[in-house]
Amino acid sequence: MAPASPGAGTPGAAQAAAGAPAAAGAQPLLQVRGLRKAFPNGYQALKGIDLDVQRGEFVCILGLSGAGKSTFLRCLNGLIEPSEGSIRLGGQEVSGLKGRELRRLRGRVAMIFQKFNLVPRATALTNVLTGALLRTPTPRALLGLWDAADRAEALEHLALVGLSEHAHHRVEALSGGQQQRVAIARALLQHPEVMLADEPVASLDPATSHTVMGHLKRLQQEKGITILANLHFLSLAREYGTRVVALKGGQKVFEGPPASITDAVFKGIYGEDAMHVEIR
Amino acid sequence: MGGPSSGERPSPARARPAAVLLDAGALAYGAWAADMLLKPAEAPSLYARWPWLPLVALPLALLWQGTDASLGQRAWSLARRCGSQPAPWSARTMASAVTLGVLGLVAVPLVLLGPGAAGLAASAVVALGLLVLALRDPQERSLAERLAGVHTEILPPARTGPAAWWRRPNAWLVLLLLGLTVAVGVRITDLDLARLFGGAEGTAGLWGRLLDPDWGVAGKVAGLMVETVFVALMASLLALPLAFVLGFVAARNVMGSTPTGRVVHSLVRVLLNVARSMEPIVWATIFTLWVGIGPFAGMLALCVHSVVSLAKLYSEAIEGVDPGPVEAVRSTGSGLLPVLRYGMLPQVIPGFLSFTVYRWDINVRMATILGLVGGGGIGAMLIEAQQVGAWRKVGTIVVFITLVVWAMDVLSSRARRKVG
Repeated sequence: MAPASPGAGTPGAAQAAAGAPAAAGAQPLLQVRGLRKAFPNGYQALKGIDLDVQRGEFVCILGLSGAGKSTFLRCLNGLIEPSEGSIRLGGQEVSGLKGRELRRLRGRVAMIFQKFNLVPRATALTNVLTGALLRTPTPRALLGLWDAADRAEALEHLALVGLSEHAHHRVEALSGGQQQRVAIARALLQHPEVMLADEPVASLDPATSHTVMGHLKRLQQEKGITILANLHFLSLAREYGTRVVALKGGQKVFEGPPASITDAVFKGIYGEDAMHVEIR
Repeated sequence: MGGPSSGERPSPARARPAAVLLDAGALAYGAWAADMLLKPAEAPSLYARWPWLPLVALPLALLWQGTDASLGQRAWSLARRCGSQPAPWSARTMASAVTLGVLGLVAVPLVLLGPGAAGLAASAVVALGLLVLALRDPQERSLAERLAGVHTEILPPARTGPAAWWRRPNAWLVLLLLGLTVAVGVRITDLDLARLFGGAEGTAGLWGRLLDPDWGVAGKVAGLMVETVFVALMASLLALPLAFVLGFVAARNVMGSTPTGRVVHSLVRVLLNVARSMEPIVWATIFTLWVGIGPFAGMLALCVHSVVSLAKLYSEAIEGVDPGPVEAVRSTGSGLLPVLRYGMLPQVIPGFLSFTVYRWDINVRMATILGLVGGGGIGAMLIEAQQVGAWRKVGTIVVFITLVVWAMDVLSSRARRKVG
C-alpha cells in the first residue's frame, strides 16, 4: 500500500462526486432490507429497517436515545449480528458473515465512537496503527512490529487531523476532541469504504464538535468516503448531512434531505415537547 | 453508553430463594447462638441435641416473607405486587403457605416411598416438574406466587433516602445477631484477660534467649534465607505465564461470547476455585511425597498456589476493563489475539504487575512456613531449632526472616506504587 495514497484500498471511491449521491438507478453501496434485531432479553431494538445509501453520501441518523441508532450502526459492521434481514455492501450480502469474512467486512466499514474508545496507556500512533490490524500478521501484531508503510501512513493520517506533534504522546494526555481525531485517523488507516460514527460529538463541546464534524465532512468530500453518523442535534445534521434518516422505537420514521425537516417532522421524531437546541 | 444488550438486571427468580435462605439462616443461626450462651458449657450444641430443628427455620422464614420486610427481602430489595398495587397481607401469606405446601409436595414421595433411591428419584421428578412450571412463567413467578396472584419485583433504589437506622426493625436484628456473635465468640475462644496478663512471667527466660541471638549460625541461616527467597522467586516466575493464560480463559468477557467458551470458562473457574481452596501447606505435603523433601517441593507448592490465586486476580482485572476500546479494536476487523493485546492488555497491565509483585512478597513469607513440612528453605531449620528448644538459634532465624520480609515489603509497595 503506497503511503502517498491513503484510501487507495477503496477503488472508485475517489471518483465519487463530492457530496452528491450517485446517479439514480446505480446500485447503492449499502442496501439494508428488513433489518431486525432482538436481544436475548427480548428487547426489540430494530423492527425492520430499510435503507439505501449511495457511495459518497453523508447520512445523518437522528433519533432519541434508545431509538436503535447505535444498534443499527453496529449491525452494519458486524459488531452485532442482526436477527433478521439483509445487508448488502457493494452488492455482497454481509449479514451472517463469520470468521475471516466478517473481519474483512469490519475492515471495509470503519467505526468511531462517542467515548472515542482509544486504547489507554498507548500512544496516539499506536492507536492509529490498530487500524491496520486486519492486514498485519498476528505474530507481528502481537509484538508491535508494524509494517513501515503502515507506520508512515498512520503518521500521515495524524497529520491530516492536525495531530502530528502528538503522535508519540499517550492518548490520555489528549483532549476529547483530539482523542476523537485520533479515532478518525485510526478508522482512516483501515482504508474504509464506509465510516460509521456513533454519536461522534456527543461527548464534546460545541466548538470541538464542529472541528470533528468538519474532519468527517472533508473525508466525505475529498476522499469520497461514505459516512453514516448518529447525531443528537438536528442543527448538526442540517449543516453536515446530505441526507437525514430518523429512527424512532426501532423503526424508520423519516428519510429525506436535511432541509425538508419541518417542525411537524421534528416533533414526530423527538416527541411533542421537544425544542430545537442548536449547536453553533 | 450501555446499549440494550448490557441491561443485565438482577432476576427476582434468583433473589427470591436467596432471600428465603438468608432469613432461614439468620433464624437458625440466632437460635444456635442464643442457645450457645444459655446452655451449660459442656452440653452439646442445639443442633447436636435436635438435628431436625434447622428445618423449622424454613417455615418461619416463609412466614417472615409475609411481612414483605424480612432481612432477606430488604437485602435483595424485593417487593411483591398484585398487578400494579402492593400485594395485601393475605396474598403474601397465601404465597408463603403455598410455598410450604409445595415443599411438602416434594417431600411426599420421600415419605411414601421411604428415603431410598425410589423415593429420592420421585421427589426429584416432582421438584423438577415444579421448577419447569416456574421457569415457563412469563413473569418468572413461582407456583405459589401464581396461585396467590402476586409477582416479585426488585425495587429501584428509593428516591427518598431510607428511614433512620433505628427506625428499621432489621437494623436492630442485625445488631442483635452481631452482639450474639461476639458473645458466642468470647465463649468459644475461651477469652480470659486474667490469664493473658497474669501468665506472662513464664516466658521471661525464652525472651531473654530470643533477644540474644546466636550469631555463630548466621552464615548458615543466611544461606537458607537465600534459598527461601529463590524458592519464592521461581514459584512466582513460573506461575506468571500460566496464570496469564488462565486469567484470560477464566474471564467471562473473553470467553462468554460462544457456548463452548462459556463451558470452558465455567470449568476453569471451578478448577481454579477448588485448587485455590487447598492451602499451600497441603500442596507442599503432596509435592514432598511426589518429588521428595526439599526446595523443589516447596517451590512447586507455592507455584500451584500462585497460579490459581493470580489467575483469579487477573481474570477479575480483565472482567473490569472498559469494553469500549475492546469493541473499537474489534471494529477494525482484528482477530481475537490482537484484540486482547491492544484492546485489553494495556488496561490490565498495571494491575497485573502490581498483583505479581505482591504475590512474590506473599510467597517469600509463605516459603518460610513451607519449610515446616519439608518444603526446603529456612523453615526446616526454624522448626528443628524450636523443637530442641534452641531459642538463641530461633532468635537468629527470626532476625533474618524479619529483615527479608521487611525488605520485600518496602520493595513491593514501592514497585506497586510505581506501576499502579
